[in-house]
Amino acid sequence: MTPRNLSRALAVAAIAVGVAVPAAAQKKGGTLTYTFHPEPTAMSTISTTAVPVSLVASKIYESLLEYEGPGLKPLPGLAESWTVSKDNLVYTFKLRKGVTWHDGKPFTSADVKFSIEKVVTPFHSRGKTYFGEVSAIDTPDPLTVVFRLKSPVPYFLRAFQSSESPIMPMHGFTADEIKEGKFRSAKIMQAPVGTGPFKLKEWKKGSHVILERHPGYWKPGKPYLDQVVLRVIPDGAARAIAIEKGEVDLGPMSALPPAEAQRLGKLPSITASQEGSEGLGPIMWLEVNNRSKPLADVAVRQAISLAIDRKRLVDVIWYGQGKPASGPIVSGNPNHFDKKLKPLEYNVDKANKLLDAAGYKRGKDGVRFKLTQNFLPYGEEWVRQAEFIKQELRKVGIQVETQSLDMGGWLKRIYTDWNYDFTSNFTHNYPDPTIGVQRAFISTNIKRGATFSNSMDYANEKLDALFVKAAQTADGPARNKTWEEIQAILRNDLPVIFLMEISYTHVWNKRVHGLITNGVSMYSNWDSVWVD
Amino acid sequence: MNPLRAFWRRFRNNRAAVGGLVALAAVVALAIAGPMLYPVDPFDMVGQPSVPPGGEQVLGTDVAGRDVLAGLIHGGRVSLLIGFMASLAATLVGLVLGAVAGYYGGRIDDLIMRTTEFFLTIPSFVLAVVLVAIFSPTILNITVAIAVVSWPSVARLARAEFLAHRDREYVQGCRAIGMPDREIILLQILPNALPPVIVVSSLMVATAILTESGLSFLGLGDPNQVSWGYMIGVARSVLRTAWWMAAIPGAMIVVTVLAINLVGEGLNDALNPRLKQR
Repeated sequence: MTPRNLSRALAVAAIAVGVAVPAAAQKKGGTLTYTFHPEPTAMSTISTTAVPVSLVASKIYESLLEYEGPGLKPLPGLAESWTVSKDNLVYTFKLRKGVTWHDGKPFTSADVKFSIEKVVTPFHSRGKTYFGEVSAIDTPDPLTVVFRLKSPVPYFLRAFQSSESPIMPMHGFTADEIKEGKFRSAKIMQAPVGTGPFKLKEWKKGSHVILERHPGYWKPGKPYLDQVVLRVIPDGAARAIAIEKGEVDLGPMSALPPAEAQRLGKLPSITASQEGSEGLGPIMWLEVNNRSKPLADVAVRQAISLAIDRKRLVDVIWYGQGKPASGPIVSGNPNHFDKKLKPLEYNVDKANKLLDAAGYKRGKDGVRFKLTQNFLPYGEEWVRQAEFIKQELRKVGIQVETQSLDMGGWLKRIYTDWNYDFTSNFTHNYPDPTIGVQRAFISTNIKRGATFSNSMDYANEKLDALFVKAAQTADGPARNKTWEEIQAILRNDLPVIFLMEISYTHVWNKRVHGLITNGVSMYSNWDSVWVD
Repeated sequence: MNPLRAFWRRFRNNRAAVGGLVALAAVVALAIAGPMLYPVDPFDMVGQPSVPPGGEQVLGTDVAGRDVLAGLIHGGRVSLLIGFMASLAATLVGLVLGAVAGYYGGRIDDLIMRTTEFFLTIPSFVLAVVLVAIFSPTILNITVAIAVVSWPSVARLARAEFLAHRDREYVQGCRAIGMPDREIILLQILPNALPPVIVVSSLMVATAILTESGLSFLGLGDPNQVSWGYMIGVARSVLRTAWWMAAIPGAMIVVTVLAINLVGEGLNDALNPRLKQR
């Protein structure tokens, strides 16, 4: 065969394979190994919702519903079906028959009532946002749960993700733990018993976690995998090499340094994808202390926003793993993002004119005023970004001194002392902006010591009223209108300088299939994931 | 013969030391005059990231598109400044404490030496990391931290010298004519005790540069300043794809530290000529 014929034959073969892949039967068996750092501190999101915990706990525990697509369309899960009353105040869930816990005991409505009332609402970090309006949970029979709400909660059906409201076994807690309210330190946090497709087999701290198939799982024929293994590899470059060599199959949620993710993504055996995190919506900004001049001045904040080349920031510092921000809601949010919005403008001349007009003239050395910046101590990219911001602001006559702090010092300075000028920060939108956006900007959340709250001291009565309205309106055009107004106000006032929508990059070996299923793919239970 | 000229003649005999001196002078000259000859801000994004050397930027760009040559020049300033200042501070403190301990002896000697041993038992780099982490990384704090972990060796050496000299006849003579202690220490013993201390503190400059590089590499450098260690730290994440980015500042550290060590050796030969003849 001549080389040309050979290549043609290969091309035909490739097409054939490409067509054949979707039709190929999912294979049963095998192990999926993923790597992440730091290692989880517990096996349940009740203890903390930190990424490493959510990653592993979502395979072990389930909630009432499952979700499909980037917009998180609710599907039956532990609940077979559900009905919602006309006034949106009563939600009735019919539970699935024959579901068993990992220890073989049957799952009933009592477990649901106990989990939501006693565990999730008081102890999950977003429990009160989801279930604060619940006035009663009734269990007329072992397979029926009825939630009664005081006022409508538009995002109520999005609350039943396994990482957000895991259903835990009532019999898994000791009488003492329940009596003393020691849920976060309960034994079950380290030795989980769930209903999910995988159960804990071995957890060697500092090294690995092995999950194995739950043979009594309620979905027939699932999960496909025999095992899910977490390997804890502290060094970023070493994580990349482990994936490159095929020792590890998956590095989820930007587990690899961006440069390495970009390099590996070009290899034929590896996929690097930014899909599958739409339901988290991480948004990064410069959190600005609005308490004193010059930052209390809207014009100054607008000038800072104009002075930063977001595209360059995304492309160079973050290796393209993100998008320039358009406002508080990420553009990937299919329901609430105002699609008319463009990324925030970059215009140095305009920034200089704004500052001149606001009365901040340049001194002899070209400096208008000095600011101190902090940065989130999450790794090198955040340092590079701080250096970049410093250079950008110098061009408009703002001299920035960078101060580096460890995580504890950073949290204290920003959220307890409120003693800072500006700092990089990021939060998640979560599936609904009332959960993820409101908390940072509503004036009732100016609370000393509360982390990821309104540290800026930004208070806007009109905005507060809009947030309350949005929280109580059912999803639809009217609610979207409210969110549009909120986005417009925040884009103009800029209590924080929105910078970038972070795209979590997931890097995996092509032998793994079926990973991306919805907007929280890495927090899904992976029961349909299979390996060659 | 003029003692300075004699010193220079002995120093000159050690060819490696002269080579080291030339290299060191070149590095110092680069650090002092460089920013004027090559006025590029080392933090400015001047081009595409990770461009290899030989393009528009002579030594290429780093992960954030910043000029590596500019970083090298400005970084040299910081590295050398911290190296020299930290070792100067450590020498002064060590010399004073060592002199007092060695000359007076007794309880004050015990007190000072136990304190010195306390510092010597803690691994110096770890102590420096702790100090910088507690007192936020600024140039001043880093210099102080390196001085704090470096003075004990000078103190011990100075103490030994003073101990050896304090009962010599010339010192006893000074005491006999009623010379105050301060004058004996400063004018009589110090000139005799100084040569070995100079050798040790010149080598300490090299250690201080390495320590600063180590701190910067770990991300504990002053975030407002570029230094060679910082440049290596930045390049670490792309070691697989852009090895030269770390190798260039690494080579500068090697050259500088080697030069300082050679000069130190030369000083040793020139200041303690009898040692060499042994």
